[in-house]
Amino acid sequence: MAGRGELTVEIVAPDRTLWSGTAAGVSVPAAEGDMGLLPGHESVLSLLRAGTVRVRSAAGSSEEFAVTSGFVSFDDDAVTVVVDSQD
Amino acid sequence: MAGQQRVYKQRIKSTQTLKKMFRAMELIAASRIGKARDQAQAAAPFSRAITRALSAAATHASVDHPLTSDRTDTNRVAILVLTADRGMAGSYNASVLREAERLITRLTEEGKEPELYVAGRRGVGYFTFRNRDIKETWLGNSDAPQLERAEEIADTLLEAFRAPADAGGVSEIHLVYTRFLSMVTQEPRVVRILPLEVVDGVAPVGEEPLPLYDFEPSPEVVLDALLPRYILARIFTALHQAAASELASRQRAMHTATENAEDIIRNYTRLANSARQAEITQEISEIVSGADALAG
Repeated sequence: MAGRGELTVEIVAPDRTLWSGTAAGVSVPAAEGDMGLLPGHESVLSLLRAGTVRVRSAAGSSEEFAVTSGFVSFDDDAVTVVVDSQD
Repeated sequence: MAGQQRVYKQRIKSTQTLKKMFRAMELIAASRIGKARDQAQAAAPFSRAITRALSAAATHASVDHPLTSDRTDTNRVAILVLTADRGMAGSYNASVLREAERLITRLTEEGKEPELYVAGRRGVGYFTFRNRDIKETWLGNSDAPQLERAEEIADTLLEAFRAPADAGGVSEIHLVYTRFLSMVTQEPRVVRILPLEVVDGVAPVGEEPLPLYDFEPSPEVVLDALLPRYILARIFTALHQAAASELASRQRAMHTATENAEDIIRNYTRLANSARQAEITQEISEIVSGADALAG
């Protein structure tokens, strides 16, 4: 199940998908402190507080998304970050 | 006789103008359907993610959440009806309103007091004309739903559901909308959105078993945060479905109207032609008989 591979990442807002693709690692501002998600991480479902979601690609580049609230679910190397509407 | 021809020509002309209008509306509806479907598709991942997460949280948390338990302290129930802002969509509004009436009758028979929340000018017009009380209305943009609108509706309904009985709280929330099955089939549907039936209503059938998640901070808190979002996703999806259905109905209605206009034009053209022919025949016979009279 938990292979040392890439993460499938999907960042979704209520009305559209903000970003989707593969990444080497994702860090999210979880409710009880920032959380780094790498391939093979345990399945987790956590709420988010305001902060920045960082997606690092295998090539080393990174994408950043500001979030105010939402949640993240991680399962079988698939990360789904659900953010509430931003304005 | 010449009068008859003129009347037919006028009718042909006015029907042609109408036909152009019908055609234009048909094309507008057709082009908006594509957009409406794109929007619905763009919103699908959110709804899917919420549903999945909620199923996971619900199986772990104790299900005694205010949003999932039945309320017995009040008889009032809320009904949210999604209609269109404009007509010209065949039986779209009529069938969703008929379904709403049926639900109202059923709930009243069960001893409940339905309260109406209506989106769309047509629905509001229908209920105001019949002097029904409407708790809240939302007008405009029924064919291009905005997220803000879904949020407004979800907030209003959640507030009503959470309010205490003496402050106008409601014990159930029902939703009447039109489901988009295909371009030719749309069916009005009634669903109860609150209280949620977490056990069988949420878990999607035929998916792999849900993983054992670690919940942060705790399953209860996660569930608490997910439920309102789930309601929002449900309402947003319903708005999208209703919008696509409205546009499909309108396109079909306008297509039929265009064809009817063509039929009418064809008939009147025939009548105008025979009227013209009759006139010519008469003129010829008048000339011939005049010439005969002079020659004789």
